[in-house]
Parts: sequence; C-alpha cells; structure tokens
Amino acid sequence: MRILGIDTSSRFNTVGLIDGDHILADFTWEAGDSLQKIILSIDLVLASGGLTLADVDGLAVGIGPGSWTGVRVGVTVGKILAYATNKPICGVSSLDALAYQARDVPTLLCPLINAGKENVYAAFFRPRGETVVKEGEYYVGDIKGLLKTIKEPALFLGNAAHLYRQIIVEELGPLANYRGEGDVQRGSVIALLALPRFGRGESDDALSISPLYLKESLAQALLAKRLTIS
Amino acid sequence: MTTAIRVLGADNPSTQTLKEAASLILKGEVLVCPTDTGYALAANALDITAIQKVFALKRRSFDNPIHVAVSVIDEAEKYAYVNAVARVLAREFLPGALTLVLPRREIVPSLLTGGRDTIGIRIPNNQIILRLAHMVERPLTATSANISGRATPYAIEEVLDQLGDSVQQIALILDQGALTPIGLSTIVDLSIKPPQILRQGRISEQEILRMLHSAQSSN
Amino acid sequence: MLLLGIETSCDETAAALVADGVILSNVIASQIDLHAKFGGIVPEVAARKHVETIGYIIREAIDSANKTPAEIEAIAVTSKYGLVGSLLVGVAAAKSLAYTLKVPLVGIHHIEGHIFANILSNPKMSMPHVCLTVSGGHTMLVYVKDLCQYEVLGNTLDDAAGEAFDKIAKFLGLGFPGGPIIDKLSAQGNKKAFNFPRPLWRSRTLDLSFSGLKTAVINMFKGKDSSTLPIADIAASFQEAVVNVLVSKTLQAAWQKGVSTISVTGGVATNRRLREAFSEICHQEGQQVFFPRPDLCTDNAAMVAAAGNARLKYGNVAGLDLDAIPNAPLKGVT
Repeated sequence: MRILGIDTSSRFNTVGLIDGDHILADFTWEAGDSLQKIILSIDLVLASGGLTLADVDGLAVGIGPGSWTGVRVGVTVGKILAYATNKPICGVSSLDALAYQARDVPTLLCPLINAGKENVYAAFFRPRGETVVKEGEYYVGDIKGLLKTIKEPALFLGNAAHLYRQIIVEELGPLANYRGEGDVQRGSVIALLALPRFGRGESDDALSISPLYLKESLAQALLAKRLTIS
Repeated sequence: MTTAIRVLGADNPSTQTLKEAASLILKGEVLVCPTDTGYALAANALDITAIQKVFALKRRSFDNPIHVAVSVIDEAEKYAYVNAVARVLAREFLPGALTLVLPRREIVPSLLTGGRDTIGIRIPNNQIILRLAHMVERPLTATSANISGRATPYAIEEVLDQLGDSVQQIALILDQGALTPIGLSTIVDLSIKPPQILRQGRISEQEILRMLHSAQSSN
Repeated sequence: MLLLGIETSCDETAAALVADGVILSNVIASQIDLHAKFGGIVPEVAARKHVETIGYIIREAIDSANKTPAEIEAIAVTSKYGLVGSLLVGVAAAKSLAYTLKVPLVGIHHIEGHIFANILSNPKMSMPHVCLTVSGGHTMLVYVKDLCQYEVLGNTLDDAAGEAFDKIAKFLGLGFPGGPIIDKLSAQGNKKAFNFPRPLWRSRTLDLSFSGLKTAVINMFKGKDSSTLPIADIAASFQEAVVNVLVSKTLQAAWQKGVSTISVTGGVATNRRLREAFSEICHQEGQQVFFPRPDLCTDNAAMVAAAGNARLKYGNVAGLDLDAIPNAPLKGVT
C-alpha cells in the first residue's frame, strides 16, 4: 500500500512516501515561516518515485502539536487532497512520529515539541514490538512540571529536547539521555504510523480532521477566566 | 443685490453651487470661500476690476500684495517662474498652509502684487477653493475675508460681522461651517538666494529648512 | 468557464461556483456568533474555525451547484490582504485542489474581490468608475480604470468605518457586530441630535479617518449612566457623520477623476442610511451609483471567482507555491 505522509507542524516541513513498510522517499526542508512549498514538494516526492497522486493509496497528515499556523496548512492540504482524490486519510500526532523514530531504544521515550517560554508539548512512549505505545495523556505545560514526574531514565527527543537541554540535565542528571542525531519529524514516519490503521480498514473522516492544538488560544483562555480583552 | 449664502456640508458637495460660483468669478465678482486658513475673498486674480473690489472690501493699502490660490503646482507655472526648490516644497507641503513667493510673469497684473515683481502662490488644503480654482482655470485671490489688520474669520458670522454693509458687494458666500483655525500660512521667499522665511505660520521654519537642505544636497 | 472561488481572509469561510458571470452556488459560513462573545474578531479563533469548515464549505459549493470537482476549470482564492492565519487556510485548500484537478490557480487581493462583487452584481455598471470599499476591516477608495486596472486613491488612516461602528456599538453596550445594530437603531433616532465632527471632509486628501469621530462620541458620553443616554439619537448622529464622510469623499474622488459612475461595496454597503444618502446625493450631482446585492456585499467567494475570471483573461496565473500576503497593496495587471 502506497502512502504519502506530510507534516508541516514544525519549522521543518516534510513529505514522505512509503510502499508498505518500505520507505521510497523522504524530503525534509527548513521552511521557517514560509509554508508555501508544501504542494510543490509533494509533487517532487511523487515524481522522484515516478508516481502521481493517483497512484497513492492513502494519505497521512501530521496533526501536531506544534506551530498552530503550520499545522493548519498541513491539515488543510491533507483533507482537501483526500476529498479531491477520494482517498482515505489518517491523522498522526507529530509526537507519536518522533517517538516512533526512536522505537529501537528500549527505554522510556519522551519527545518534546516547543510551546514557547519554557513550555512544551510532550508525551511518554514505550517501544513495544515494531512500534511504540503511548503512556498517559498528551501534556502541554511548563517543562519543569513535566520533568518532576520522571523517575526513570528517559530518552529525550525533538527540537525542544535540545533547546531545553540545560534545564533537563539540571533537573534529571543521569536520568536524562540524548541521541546524537537531530530529531525532526519525517514524512515517511507519519506514513508508517498510518499504515497499521489502513491495514485494519480504518481511516479518519477527511473533512473533519482537526489539528491537535492541546491548548486554547489566549483569547479563549481569557474568556474562560472571564477577563476582558481590550 | 442680496448676497446669497450657500451652505456646503459634508452631506452636500453640490457641484451645481460650484458651477454657479465659477461663473460668477469669471464675470468679475468677488465671493467668500473657505480655505484651510479661514474664510477668504476669492476673485479672478487676472481681472483688475475684481482685484480693486477686493482691496476696497478689505480697506487694504495697494502696496500690500495679495496672494493667489491655484489647484496644482503646474498651474502656477502660468503665473510665476516655478523653480526646482519651489517644486520640492510643493511636493512636500502642498496642498497646505505654505505660501511660495516666486518671480511673477507678465500676465499677472501689478495691482495684485503691490508693484512688486514677485507673486505669492498657495495651494490651500481645502477642496472647495481647489475645485473652484480648477473650474475657472484662473488664479484666485486668497486673502482673508476681513478688514485689513483685523482677525481672520473662521465662520460666516464673523465674516458678516467684519464686512458689515459692504457684504452687499459679495456675489455669493460659500459656507462650509465653522473652520478649524490652524494658524496662518508660512511664507517663503524663493525669489532670492538663499530663500528666506518671511512669516512663520503653520509650517515650521525647521521643517522648511530641512526640506531646502535636502533639496540642495541632491542637486 | 466554471470557476471555484475560495475566500477565507477574515472570519467568513466561503466557496462559490461561478460560470461566466452566473453564480451557481455561493456558500458562506460566518463566524460572527463565535467572535461575538469576544467582542471582536480573534485571529487565532478565526483561523481554527476556517480549518474546521473549509472542507465542508467547498464540498457544499460544488454539490449544491450540481457539479463534480472534475468539472472545475479554474480556481481563484483570496491570497492577499487579510489575517495571515485565515488566508493560509484558503490558500492551502486552493493549491491542493488546483494540484489534484490540474487546473490554473489565481491569487486574488481581497479588495479586488469586493470591487468585483459589484461588477458581478451589476453587469451594466461601466468603467472607469470610482469604487468605495467599506467594511469592518477596510475603507478604501479605488479608481477602477478598467477591469483589473486600479489606482488606490485613498485609505483609512486609522479605523475602518465598520470598525468605528463596532467600537461605538460596544461603547453604547449594543453588541457585535455594531454596523447592523446601529443601522437598525438609527431608524428610531434623530440623526441631527448631535453634530459630531466629520474628520478630513474639507481637505483635499482622499484619505479617510474615523478615530477622531469615535473619540468625540466617547468623550462626550463616557462616565454617564447609559440608561440616561439617548442611545438611538447618538447612534443615528454617529452614523450620519460616518455616512457624510464616506459620501463626500467618494464624490470628491469621482470629481477628481472625472467619472460619473460610483460603486459602493463591502459589508457597510448594506447600511440603509449609506445607500439612501448615496442615492440622494448622486442623483443631485448627476452621478450613477451602484451597490451589490446584500449577499455579495459581505465577504463571499463568488466575488473572488469573478475577479479570478478577469485575471485569467490577462494570463495572471499563480504557481503552486502561492503564498498568503496579509499586507499586500492592491495592484492592477499593468
């Protein structure tokens, strides 16, 4: 089954193509604030495999968490491509993808995505068999608050892991582990995580796929606290 | 002749009234017209009879020149020698409260300029006088509608108060309500080197000198 | 030619199918109720809503016109001028469709869309004309020389007219959005009760300004118990000042450009007093004035499709790396 996976929720945008569990292509680039290249990159990746959109059997899209603006572009592209091609689509969490990329390391996995001002999006995973399984819920909040809950060695992954490395090492000492490579979501991994769901005949309803924001907008939060915004 | 007062509001731009005003000007009549520096006596500045009426209304001495309003700086070229510095100031400050004193051309009656060989050019920031100047295709006198030496009128009541019975000599009054007093226009003499500020008005000497310096340095 | 228009520049998600000037569908999902509880449009909230609705809106526009995606021959999307997070959603959707269907894509400036709302509504309206686009987010005077040939004559220096309505309505405790509420209430009020300032109406500039007017109203009544205020009179007088300024500046522009046709578009073009004043004054001044039908005044995608159709004739096609530019100036083809 050929699956096209995309993720635009971080500074690095990515498009990947798999055929079953065989990776055909992966293209990751630093997009910064510019999200305009996603469609051309999809075309590039398909063309590199000698394929067209019609040849793809399913789509997978990273739903975050991460940059709200970024993830909206990816999710919109995913759902509209799915609608227009009439192909099935699965939404995949970017945190899951990061953890999956470290599934060969037998330890508690803790991918971190930056949420600004020493806040992070995070979740805990453990490798199981060929994949990883999430433990507990997705977390968004102060990094120190997260670290206080860790009582065993953990492998930290993702851009925020490196950004807040000093704090993590200070708080956890020898419990904090890192890998040498930079950790960035890869489109092929997004696709790989969707594969078992497609295998079970499952997919998401294209038009209703939503980003995983994990946090209300500031306005909503203030409204909830009944403070006025001027 | 009873003087008609036409009220021009934000809700009534009235091209009809302006056409009527334009035709009166071309007949040599004097009107009261709003500008950005108060109400003015507007008349055809090329018409000697009209100019005499203006001097009489104001009881102004003939050696005190009257400045004119045009709609765009290119129009001024017909009545004055507009140099590069003048164009720089025009681009920056006009329409606005700045009077440019420039060497006059022959066509301008010396009665208007008090015998001098210079003329004061204005492009006031008020759409009524600009439109009127554009319609008549003549320079308009732009001297305040008061008795010489007295306060500038910003409302028609003040104009009527000052001119008293002489108001009968005015053919039409264009009432744009209470005008905002922003001060007098600044007068710059560009007919001499270096240019000199003859009167400090709304636009400050600093701003003008800054513009003059940047104009010179780019030449 | 069958064109799909997509519009997500602010707080309405819209899609429409238009074929040669005929609107086959015009679907709009407004977020007004959503933002009402915040008292104004919140960009993050708007953008999140766009992602939720965009797919449904596009599907509805296609289905309700009894067409299929394969029949679409070109796509036009608002990509310039608006909230960036909102624009990006429409642009992403448009590019995805254009890529899949292999059809040309056109990026449209939001104000150009409004200009075309009237051209689409009133095919008899001639060019050149002066167009006033007035809404919650914009107040702009444009000289429309010909199709897609523009000269921006004036802009608001501070608040858009619709914004001023929102702020005064908020001050008077009338709710959001302010325009329609004030419009309705003014019918019961005396528009001459208060003579609020009409900023800039005497000067030659074609720029507009409403913050001075807004401040004058607020300063006059702040601190007073709102139950003692003649709300309807205040609303009517405020509205009258805004209307006067809009009408007189537009006429000034028409005079300056020597045209006798005036186009009034944008959300505030649905205001009854504005329409009445324009019609009266234009009749007096010998000008012809045109308004779009109400569902084309507020943000919609049919106008975007119409603009796209014209741009296509000039060969103005965008690449699949079309980006959203929130502050783009309005530019014609030449």
